[in-house]
Amino acid sequence: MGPAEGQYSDPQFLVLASLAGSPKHGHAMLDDIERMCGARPGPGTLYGAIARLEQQGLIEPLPAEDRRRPYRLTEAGERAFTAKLKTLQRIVRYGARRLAPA
Amino acid sequence: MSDRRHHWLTRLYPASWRRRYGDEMDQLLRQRCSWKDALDIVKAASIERLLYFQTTGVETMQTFAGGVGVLARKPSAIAPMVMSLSALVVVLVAIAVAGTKPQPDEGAAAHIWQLLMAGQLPILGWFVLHWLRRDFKAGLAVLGMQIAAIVAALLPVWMLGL
Repeated sequence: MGPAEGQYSDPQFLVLASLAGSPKHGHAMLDDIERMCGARPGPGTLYGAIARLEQQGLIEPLPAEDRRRPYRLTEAGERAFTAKLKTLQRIVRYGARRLAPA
Repeated sequence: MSDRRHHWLTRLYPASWRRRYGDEMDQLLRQRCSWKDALDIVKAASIERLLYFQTTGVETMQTFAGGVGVLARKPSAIAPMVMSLSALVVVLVAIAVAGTKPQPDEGAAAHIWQLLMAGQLPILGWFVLHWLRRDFKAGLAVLGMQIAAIVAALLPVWMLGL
């Protein structure tokens, strides 16, 4: 089953977006992503994205607080997120222009 | 944390994954676990097992970077080459003893040759599955050596029609 109409489904991008504001642990990220795009990823999807981002050095774990481990963006993560945002903005601009009535 | 104390859904993940993220996942599941979440974890755990079972988090993010020299010394790299070269020696000894005339019955040498050549195939398969994706370039170079050894063992048999 694919994502619902209008739903944005790039879990890694959503995790980067969530951590761009401040460090967060898993549960806070899920709540934040739900607020941001209206859909809540599953815990498996979230931790799949966290593992891949950590492997790429785009996020890093902070010391655990009561078995909940917060994560934050690394410098490389901030750069990657900025670049992805720019690309997304370009796509949005092109898409909106193409859909606009002539 | 003892593995038995993990949530049953967390236990679907590979051990290395559980060591790194198990406690955090348990914590999430303690707060909320719908059937959709359960399905999502089953899917994600299968993906971790199938695609990333050796590369969880920073702990194992370092891919194997030992180069050809180090990789060629791994048992699954050496064994097929040793088996092919042993098969080659068996053929050469058999030729030296019995000549190149085809024998009416397959002798002990032929059986040993067949065992050595067939026996290395599972090891070769393991090498490809285990090492090639960790260090593709070095893995390919070692695979080339293994194939060269196989060709060396096959060549006299094929050329002399043994």
